[in-house]
Amino acid sequence: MELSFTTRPLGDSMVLEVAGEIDITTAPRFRARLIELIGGSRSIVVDLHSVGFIDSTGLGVLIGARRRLGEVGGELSLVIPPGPIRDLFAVTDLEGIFTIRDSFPALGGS
Amino acid sequence: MVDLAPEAFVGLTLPSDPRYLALVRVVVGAAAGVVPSLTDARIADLKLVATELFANAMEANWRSTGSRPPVGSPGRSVGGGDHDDAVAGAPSGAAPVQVTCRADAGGVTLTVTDSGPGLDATDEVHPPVEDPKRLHHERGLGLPLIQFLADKVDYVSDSAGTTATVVLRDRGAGRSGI
Repeated sequence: MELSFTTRPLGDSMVLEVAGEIDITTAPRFRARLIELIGGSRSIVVDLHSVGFIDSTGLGVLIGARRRLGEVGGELSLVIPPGPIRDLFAVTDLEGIFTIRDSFPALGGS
Repeated sequence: MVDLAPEAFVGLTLPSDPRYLALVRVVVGAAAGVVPSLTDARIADLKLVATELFANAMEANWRSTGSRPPVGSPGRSVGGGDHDDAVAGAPSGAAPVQVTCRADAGGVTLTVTDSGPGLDATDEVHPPVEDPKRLHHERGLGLPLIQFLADKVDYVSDSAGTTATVVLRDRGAGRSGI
């Protein structure tokens, strides 16, 4: 199963664009990539707009990343357009622990 | 003109191997596709429920062999050398996972059977999201997701294993009626 990553700086943040499907076969790679980024940046934006599927394991990876960044005073933001994947964050109440944006233009805005 | 009934039934017997997860999604999605009333959003719900149930069943079968569950276990990787990937394959002696999917005008009934003893009634309850301890719970989201997305959920265990049966019907516009 394919899961690809692209990283780019955005101001003081590092953006991780994720594309593909996240389940237990790819979640470990997702976790490792995030941990690697957390080692070098205190502000990370995970862009999930090209993710077609995410299961509970993938959500767990994001929870872990949020915790790791919080422990070092960092921030984790998510970009998820309205749709099925965004809905999962509402269903699981995870909207309460993540900063979630619909799209990039809103980042850094008022 | 042939009047084709909108119904389908598929049955799969698959190794307890994470590499089959994507296949499960494809198959149940195709079966559900014959039901005109099911929206794409509900079919996406079904794929997620099937993924969670199959992953749980694999874990139960792995544990039955005394093996650690496939997530986070050391071993050969799906990606063929990337040690960060989930392990590929199934431990020796692990029972297969049985999956059936019946789709008709009433919706979709999915069953997933493993050889495990069933759910532990003391499964962890997550702290509320406003509690910082919530961030220490990376696992355990699957069952609540299944419960929310399915219209009916039933788990039956006996000496041979556990069968999860879920029913998903159309809920109108939007995913899960949100």
